Amino acid sequence: MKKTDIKEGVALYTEETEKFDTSDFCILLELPLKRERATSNALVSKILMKGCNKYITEREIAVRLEEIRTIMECSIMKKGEEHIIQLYFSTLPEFAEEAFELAGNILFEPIFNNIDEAKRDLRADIEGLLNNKRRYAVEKCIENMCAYEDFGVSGDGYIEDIDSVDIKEAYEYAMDNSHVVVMSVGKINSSTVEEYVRTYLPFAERNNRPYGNSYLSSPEGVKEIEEKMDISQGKLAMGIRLNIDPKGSDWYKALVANELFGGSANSELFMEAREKESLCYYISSKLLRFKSIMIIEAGIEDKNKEKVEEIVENAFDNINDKDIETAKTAIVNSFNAAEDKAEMIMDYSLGQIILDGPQDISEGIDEIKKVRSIEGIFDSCVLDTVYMLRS
Amino acid sequence: MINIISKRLENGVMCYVLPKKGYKEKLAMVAFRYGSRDINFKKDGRDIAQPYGIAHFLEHKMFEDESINFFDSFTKLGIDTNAYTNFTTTAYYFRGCDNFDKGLSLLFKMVNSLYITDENIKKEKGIIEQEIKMYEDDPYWEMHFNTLKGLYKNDPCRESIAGSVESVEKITENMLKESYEGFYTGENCVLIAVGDIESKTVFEKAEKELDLNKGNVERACYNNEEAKPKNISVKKSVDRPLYNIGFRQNTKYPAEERTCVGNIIMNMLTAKSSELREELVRRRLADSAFGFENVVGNDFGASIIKGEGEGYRAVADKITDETQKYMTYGINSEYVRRLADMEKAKMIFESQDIYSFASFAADCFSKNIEMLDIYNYYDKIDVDIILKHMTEYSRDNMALSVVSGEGA
Repeated sequence: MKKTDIKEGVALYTEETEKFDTSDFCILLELPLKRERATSNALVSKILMKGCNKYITEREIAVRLEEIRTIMECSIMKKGEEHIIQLYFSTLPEFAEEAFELAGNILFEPIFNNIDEAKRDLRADIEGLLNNKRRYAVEKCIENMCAYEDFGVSGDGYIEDIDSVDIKEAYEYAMDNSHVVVMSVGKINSSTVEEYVRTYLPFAERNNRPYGNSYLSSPEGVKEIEEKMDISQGKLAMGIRLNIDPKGSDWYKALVANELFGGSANSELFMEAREKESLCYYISSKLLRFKSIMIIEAGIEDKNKEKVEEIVENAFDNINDKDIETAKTAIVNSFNAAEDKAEMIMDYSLGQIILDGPQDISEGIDEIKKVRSIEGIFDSCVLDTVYMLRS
Repeated sequence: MINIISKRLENGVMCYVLPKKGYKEKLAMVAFRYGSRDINFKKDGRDIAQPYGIAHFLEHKMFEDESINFFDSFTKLGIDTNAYTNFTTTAYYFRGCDNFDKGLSLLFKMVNSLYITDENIKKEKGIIEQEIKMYEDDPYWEMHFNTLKGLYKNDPCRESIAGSVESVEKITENMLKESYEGFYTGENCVLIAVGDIESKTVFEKAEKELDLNKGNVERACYNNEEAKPKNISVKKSVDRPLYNIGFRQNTKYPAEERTCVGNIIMNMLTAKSSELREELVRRRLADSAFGFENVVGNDFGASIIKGEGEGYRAVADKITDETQKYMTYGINSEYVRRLADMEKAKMIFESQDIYSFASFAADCFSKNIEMLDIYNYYDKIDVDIILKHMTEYSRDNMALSVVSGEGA
């Protein structure tokens, strides 16, 4: 994407393309992820679409969105140790200006008239995690694994903090202390978007460029955590410290190695645990880049936990360079495929902004293509936490 | 705006190509008009009754061949592959940036024949048992099927797509062969390709290489002159009650009409732009979890309102009061137009994604709907049609499905 500095601390990234019939935009407020601000940042994401100066209720905003054929959502994201408030909107090109105008009104002139509703929505989100047992297990694993790091902080915030949040203060803090990124992908030219940003998004200059993630960790021993719930199938989540620099070329080796390890339906984990042993329906591994962590998750019978752990351990020894070209192709494909979705283009860009890396997806693709061997890439990895939700 | 090229091939297969200029990834899907509901049918003059979950089981087994594992072969081509089964459709697809032609050949080869043995059936039962248990731990999944159970006493849409551990246990080699031969036929098959693709080459290749059985089985019709709907409640570990308020659709109206009208009515009752939702939120009866799903099949269908919280009975009352109110006082035609135009825009948003488009196309094929008919139907929709359907959104057609926490 092409970068334009609107002013100090406010950047615009644009990609003009004819391949979509739509125009997609997002406005991102990047903040550090901290326990003491987690709940208030999350609440800001809940209050903004409840009413603004021009459209004073949630319903009036929704009616306006229908009039201009636009989908708009405000959400909170946790990316490494950054906490990001996102206003995302997708529209037809002929309504882009109206959509920007509305977004500007929502972001700059909120009227805070439904604070209770916003707080109820956030409470529902936090408590609702219990209804998704798979996600619950992974979140619990990370929470325990990173208990003494900012990454262990919940992106949705905390029930016990909700009541005491002063939402106006939270809003002003987020607006003043964030690094601002605006993105645009689709049938609209960059200069037009720049004009809209200057007209409708009057952000002040700022100097808040964050924060940096710490990725090295050598835990002393494995944390074993178990919980019991009335469920049919146990949920296993394992957290592993990779100790691989997310900015270096080794990271791309790790991506290739993960593909072979548990990242695909041909991976060691999938072939061994599911196809050979029929132990599970799902088992997979994924990498959390900013923190250099691998998470493995599987739905299994409680009694098979040790067997699966053994398969995981062996998988580290069993992956090798034999299928490396296939794995590289799969990753190159997924990088390429990301360019077919506006949301993915923006997500990739944001990741690169956080890591201070190059914007162009093709540079990531070149890095993957350069990988010759994955030998030894996981040598410095350490098992940190094993979380099991038992049935 | 949605520019589809279609053709019916000599071998009976229907083909749709959606060209996406400039897209790097291409996707092809082969889908059959065969889903979890098709367990009773007539083949070669015989009545056949099969266990629940067989269409989904067959989907799993298609990935194996005597000499190769198709997952493996696709991966070697640098292509991602997967499949899914729902009430009316079984679909196989792949997506990738290169080797599209080779991928197509492989996809065709995969569906052209079935390879099963006692041993690989046994192995699959273990995997599927874990899949079923995964669904059992998803309260929203269970609630969804309980809604359909409440609305339908006979129709197999009331049973989970993967079946139960017990029903899957009953599946045999012979049954899988019967359903493969009966349903994986040219007439039941649709091919959908999306991406920067020449439609002509896709059509030619499919004509040459797709080699499916002929004919068609006679599917059972389920008597949907059903009994009065029932409410179903279960206990699970959830943070607060989760509920569905389902309305049985009247299948005398065609599926495309129920799709469009259902979406509009559900928006009038649940969308953030609706007055009812605003009131429910103000009374603390609804929050961000409030929404809807419209399930539409040819001979079944349910419009389902979803929410969380204690006040589901009050919400159900308010919903039926609201439809009564609309039927008594009428609906503003500009309101209907605005919602219809928004639904059209949503279809354009969704068609940007190659997978969303393909699965939508497969779904339409299974129901004998032309995709663009839905898009165009939104232009025709008016207040009278909405009001005609609204009579179905009454207490008599309603089932509540609730999942609540222990001790709640």
